[in-house]
Amino acid sequence: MSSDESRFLARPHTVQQPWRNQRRFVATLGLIGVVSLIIAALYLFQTSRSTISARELAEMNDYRARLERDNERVRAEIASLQSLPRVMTRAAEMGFRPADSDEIQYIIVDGYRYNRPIVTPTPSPTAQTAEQIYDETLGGWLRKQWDGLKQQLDSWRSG
Amino acid sequence: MIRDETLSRRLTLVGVVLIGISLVLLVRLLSFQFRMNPEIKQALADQAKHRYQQTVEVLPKRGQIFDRNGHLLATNSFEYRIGISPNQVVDRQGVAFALAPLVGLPENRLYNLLQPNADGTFPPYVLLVSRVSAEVGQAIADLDVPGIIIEPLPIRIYPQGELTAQIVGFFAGSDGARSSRGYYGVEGYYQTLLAGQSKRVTRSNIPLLEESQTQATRVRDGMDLILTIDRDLQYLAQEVLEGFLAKDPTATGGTILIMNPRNNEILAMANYPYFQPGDLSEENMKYARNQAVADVYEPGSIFKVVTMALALDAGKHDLDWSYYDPGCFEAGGVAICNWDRSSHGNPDFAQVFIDSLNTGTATIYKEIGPYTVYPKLREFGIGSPTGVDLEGESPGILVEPGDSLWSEAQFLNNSYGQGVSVTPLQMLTAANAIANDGLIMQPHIVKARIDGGQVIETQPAATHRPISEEAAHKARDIMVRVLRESKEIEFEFPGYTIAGKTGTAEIPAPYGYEPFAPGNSIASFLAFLPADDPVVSILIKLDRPWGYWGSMTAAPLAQELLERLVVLMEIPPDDLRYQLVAQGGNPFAREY
Repeated sequence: MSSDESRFLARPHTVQQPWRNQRRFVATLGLIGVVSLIIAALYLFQTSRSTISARELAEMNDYRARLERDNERVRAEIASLQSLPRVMTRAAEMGFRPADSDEIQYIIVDGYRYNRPIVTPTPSPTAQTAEQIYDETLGGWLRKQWDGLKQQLDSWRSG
Repeated sequence: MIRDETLSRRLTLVGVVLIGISLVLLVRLLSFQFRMNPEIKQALADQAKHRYQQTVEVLPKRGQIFDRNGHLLATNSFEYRIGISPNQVVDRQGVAFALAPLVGLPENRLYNLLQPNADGTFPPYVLLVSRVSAEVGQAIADLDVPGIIIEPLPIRIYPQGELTAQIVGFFAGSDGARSSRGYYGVEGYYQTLLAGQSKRVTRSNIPLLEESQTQATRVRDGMDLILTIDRDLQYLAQEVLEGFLAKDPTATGGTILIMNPRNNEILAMANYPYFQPGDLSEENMKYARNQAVADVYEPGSIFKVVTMALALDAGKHDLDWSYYDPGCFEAGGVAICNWDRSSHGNPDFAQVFIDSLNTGTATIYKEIGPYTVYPKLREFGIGSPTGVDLEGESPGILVEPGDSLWSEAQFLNNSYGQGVSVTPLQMLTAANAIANDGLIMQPHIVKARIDGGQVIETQPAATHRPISEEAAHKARDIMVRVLRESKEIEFEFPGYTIAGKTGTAEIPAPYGYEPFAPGNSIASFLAFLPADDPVVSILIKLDRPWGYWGSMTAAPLAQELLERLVVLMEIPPDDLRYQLVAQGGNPFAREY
């Protein structure tokens, strides 16, 4: 037996072929690649959704600001239309005139306690900030899912 | 086999080289991240910030101003500044055609503005018009032109116009609210409260990044203010004043002041000439100040109510006191004369004021002495600002012993309202001490402040007690007799008990006084009613009326004013009021 043959015979027959190692390496790389792609796709999806939401939010904020400006403008317009010089001029055009003291008749109702009504200052209406129901945390997401499920169950129960 | 081994060695070598290059790149990247030259790092950060971030100031809403019944006196609205980014415009001709009529520019000029510069680049921003109305701004927004930039600019609106202009003041400044502020009146005095607090916010163009605040934690809108002013009474005062001035050939102006003497709330404050809000011309700005608090004048005989009250309180004079009236006497080198320069015999204390005798008040002052009189006048608020919450208040002028201009003649003149200068508000505040049982309350014009949902009411506060309650009641009774018994005063108001006094002050001319000349006096009238339970006090001041005397000009005008005022304020005649009170009612509960 030549030395080459004996060396060949001494090799354990369980030793894998080199191509198998390469295939395993490629498969691992491929797996990593696929997982990375999935993560990247998820990230991209999430990012695009957040961006769309942020843009919608910005548009809604702009819309709210515009509505608030419109409200202020309308409020000023109403106040101008109700200004006393304008109202008095209109009243005069319609034939009204201020009453004099000798044209006023006071009637005393027996037993009636006349008390001048007390006018207390009232706050002007201010924009209310909408209460935030869900936040963007995991807890918020779980709560949202749970509420959605509960709502579905309730609607199913009520038929 | 040999080929395989060679291939394997070469692959290893290539791998090592690639890993080496990767490592070098990685190290370089890490060095950028952690060990970069600070200057380069800062420059890059600034560049990024400039590209992706902008710091803007978020402005608060200025507080609104209401009258006591909730009618708006000052509010906010918007105008718009229109600009455009020409590089974003595709159809320049179409845009120029659509925009030109809205921004008020010729179409060809607008088209030229949208063209690139000589070097072929476009300017990033072109201002088309600095201010347009909300309607025009909306019409431009509806065009949906790409590249159009519409910026809202806050403006202040005064819906009541000139009616409350001198009370409210005005808000002005350059474009935008940042450099603007309130001037005069309530706008000026409460500038800080009305303005609120802005914040600077750094915003990223990347929607995901949160904005960071660089100053205040939140935008704090300005507080709303509710004034003590009653719009209806203000209109009445202005209408009555305007009606008089329209008929009088020489009168140049005037003031009507209406207050609640119990808490010194200012219910109306009308002045002429008027100020037009929104008109910042030099001519109009002359009338921006509130003459009732900013302008001083010699009050004349209405000041005798102060003389009367302090004399009764000082204790040297009572209702039985009398003196011989010579008609004129000389003191301190000057002649002190009655208005008619004639003797009235031996008038008693009350008659001095009913007949408005200068010799009588001068004699009373002489007997009391300056060292008792002047501290009392100070307690009445003469010579000091009242502290009213309006910008631009004048303290008036009171010359006292020790001042270089003081003299005995000056002192005696003070007894009938000459040689002393007051504002209409000071005068009525002093007289209100008599109506309010001897107590002076802090005059004020803001009834409440509204901070968000919280209402903070102004609590009435007493500032001085210049006279006792007893002295105040005696003075009040004499003032009632003044209006009832004086033959000179043209005032009749049946059904109501009113305490009052007229006054006439000569206006000094460059060549000296010219007594009794039409248009050469300041005529005035002050009163409060019902005298036994005062709910309202008034002061009328007329500048240069043809009729000269307060009893002939201001008194009839007061009657005209009061006839309508009792209707508006629902003040029933005395007999009805007594019946209401007897039934347990309270006709004058807190509102006024």
